[in-house]
Amino acid sequence: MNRLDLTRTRWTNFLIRNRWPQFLIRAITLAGFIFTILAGLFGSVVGSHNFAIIFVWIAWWTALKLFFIPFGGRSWCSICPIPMPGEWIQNGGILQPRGKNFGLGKRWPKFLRGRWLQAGGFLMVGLFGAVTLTSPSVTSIVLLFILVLALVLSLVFERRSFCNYLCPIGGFTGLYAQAAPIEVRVKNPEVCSAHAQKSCYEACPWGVYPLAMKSSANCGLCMECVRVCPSNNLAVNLRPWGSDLGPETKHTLDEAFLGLVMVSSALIDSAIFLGPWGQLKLAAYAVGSRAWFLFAGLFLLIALAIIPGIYTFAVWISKKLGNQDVSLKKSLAHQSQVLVPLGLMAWIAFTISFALAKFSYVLPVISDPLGWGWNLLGAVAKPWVGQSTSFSLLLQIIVLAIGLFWSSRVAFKITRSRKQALPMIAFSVFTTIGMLWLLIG
Amino acid sequence: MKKEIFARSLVIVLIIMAISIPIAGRWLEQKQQGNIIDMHARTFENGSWSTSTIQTKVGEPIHLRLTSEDVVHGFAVGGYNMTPLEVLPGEYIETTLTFDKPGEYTFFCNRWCSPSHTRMRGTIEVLPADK
Repeated sequence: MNRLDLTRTRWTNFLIRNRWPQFLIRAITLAGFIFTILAGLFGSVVGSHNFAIIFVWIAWWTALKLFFIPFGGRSWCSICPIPMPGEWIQNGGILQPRGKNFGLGKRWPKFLRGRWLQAGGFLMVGLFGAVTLTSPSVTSIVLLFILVLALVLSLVFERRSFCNYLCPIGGFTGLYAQAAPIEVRVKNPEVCSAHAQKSCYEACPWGVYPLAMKSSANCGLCMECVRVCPSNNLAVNLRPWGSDLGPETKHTLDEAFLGLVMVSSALIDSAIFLGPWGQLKLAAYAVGSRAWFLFAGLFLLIALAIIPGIYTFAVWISKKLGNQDVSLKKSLAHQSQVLVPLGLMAWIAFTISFALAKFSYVLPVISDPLGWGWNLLGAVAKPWVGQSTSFSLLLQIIVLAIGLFWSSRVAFKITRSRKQALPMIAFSVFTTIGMLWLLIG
Repeated sequence: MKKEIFARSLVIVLIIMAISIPIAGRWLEQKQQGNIIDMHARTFENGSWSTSTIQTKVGEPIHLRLTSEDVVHGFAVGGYNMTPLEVLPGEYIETTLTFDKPGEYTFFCNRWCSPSHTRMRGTIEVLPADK
C-alpha cells in the first residue's frame, strides 16, 4: 500500500474528527477576512502599506500556491471563511453538522454545472488583475462581493453551490488538488454499499458521495463525512503526488477548459507583472481605456484561442497517432490531465518570482495594518524590497523542469503509446519555454 | 447546544474585534494627535494636498504629519528656512513650523511628481501674534 491513513494515528485522528480545531481556524479566518475588507476600504491607499493588498495578494496567494495546494490540495477550502455565514443560516448552526435546511435549497441549474463559470471568473480576475492586485479598495470590494454572493446563493441553492460552481479559487484549488498528496477515500466499498442511510452524503456540504469519488477535485476536505460515518469507513490518506492522474480517471471538457485558462493566465500574468513591457502593464492598469480594451482583447485571444488552439492541435495529432476510435471531445478532456502538473508548476514558478522579493512587506503591515502610521509590534521598518536573486531564478528553473518532467510522465501514463504522448510533451515543452522566457528572460 | 452557543458567541466576538480595531485605532489616534495636522499628498491631477490653507499666528507652532498617497512628493515652504522634506508613499513624516513674521507663505511640492507638479501648492496664513 502506498497510502498512509491519517485517521489511524491518534493525534491526527483527533484533529480530523474533532470539529473545534477546524472551526477555530475558520472563525479566525472569517474575522481576518472582515478585517481585510475594512483595511482595504478605510486604510492607506498605498498598496504596499495596506493589510488587504499584502495579506491577500502576497501572503495568502503565495501560501495557497506554495503550501496549501502542493501539500494539502483543497486544504484551504477546509478553512475558507467565505461559505461560513451562509452555512450558518443554511444549517441553523455553525458548529453542528448539516441538518435542517433553511433557504430554498434549490439544485444548481444543470446548464451552469461544471468548471465553466469558475474558469470565467478566473479570466475576469486576470483581466482586472493589475487594478485588483494593487488597489486596496478594489480588493476589498471584490472580497465583499464574493462574501455577499456566497451568502445570497446559499439561501437560494443547496449546499456550497458558490464554492462548487462559481468560486475561481475553488476552481484553481480543485483542479490542482488532483496532483496533491492527500485524499479522502472509502476504506471498504462493500460497507458503504450495504449502508442505506448515506449519512456521509447527507453531511457533505459539497454534495459529494465518497463511495463514488475517484478524484479529489470536488472534495473540500471538510472531513464531515469522516466525522459522521457510523462504520468508521473513511480514510484520510497521504498518497503519492499526482495520484488522481492516470488512464482510468474520468475527466471532462470543462476541466480541460479550466486547465487551459490556468496555464494561459500563468503565462499572461508573468508577461504583465514580470515582463519588460511597461506599455502592457500600463494598459492592464488603465481599465476602461482604449489601451485596456486592446489588452483585454489580446488576453482573451491568448487564453481562449491561441493556447487552446495549440492544445487542440496537439491532442488531434496525438489522437491520429494513436489510431483510436475516440472523439476529439473525449480526447481533449482526457489529455487535459497533462495540464495539471504543468499549470501547477508554472504558477509556483511565477509565485517564487515575487514571493521571495515581496515577503518582507508582511511584518511591517501586521505592525501597521491600515497604513496609518502605527507601529503595534515595533516591526515597521523600511521593507527590504528584493530583486530576483540567482537562487530564486535557479529555483524557478528547477520548478519548471519538474513541471515538464511531471507532465511528460502523465502524458506517457495516459496514452497508449510513446508516440501518442509526444504531441502532448511538445505542448508542455512549448509552455515551459514560454514561462522560462518570461520569468528568466 | 451549549457548544453551539459558545461557537456562535466566539464568531461574533471575533467579528466585533475585527471591526473595532480600525474604529478604536482611529479614535485613539485622533485623541493622541491633538493639534497635529494630517496632510496627505497626491499629484495635482488626483487631488493635490489634502489641506490647501493653514492658519497660524506668529510664534505659534504648526505640527504637520505628512504622507503621500501615490508617488514620492516633497514639502517645502517659500520664505521659510527649512530643509525640504521627502514625503514617501504610505510613510509618515512629521515636522513643526514656527513663523516669526506675519504674512502669506506658500508651501509646495519640490519633487517633480506629475505634469502639473508646479501647481501642487497651498498657503500658510500667519497672523500677527496679537490678533
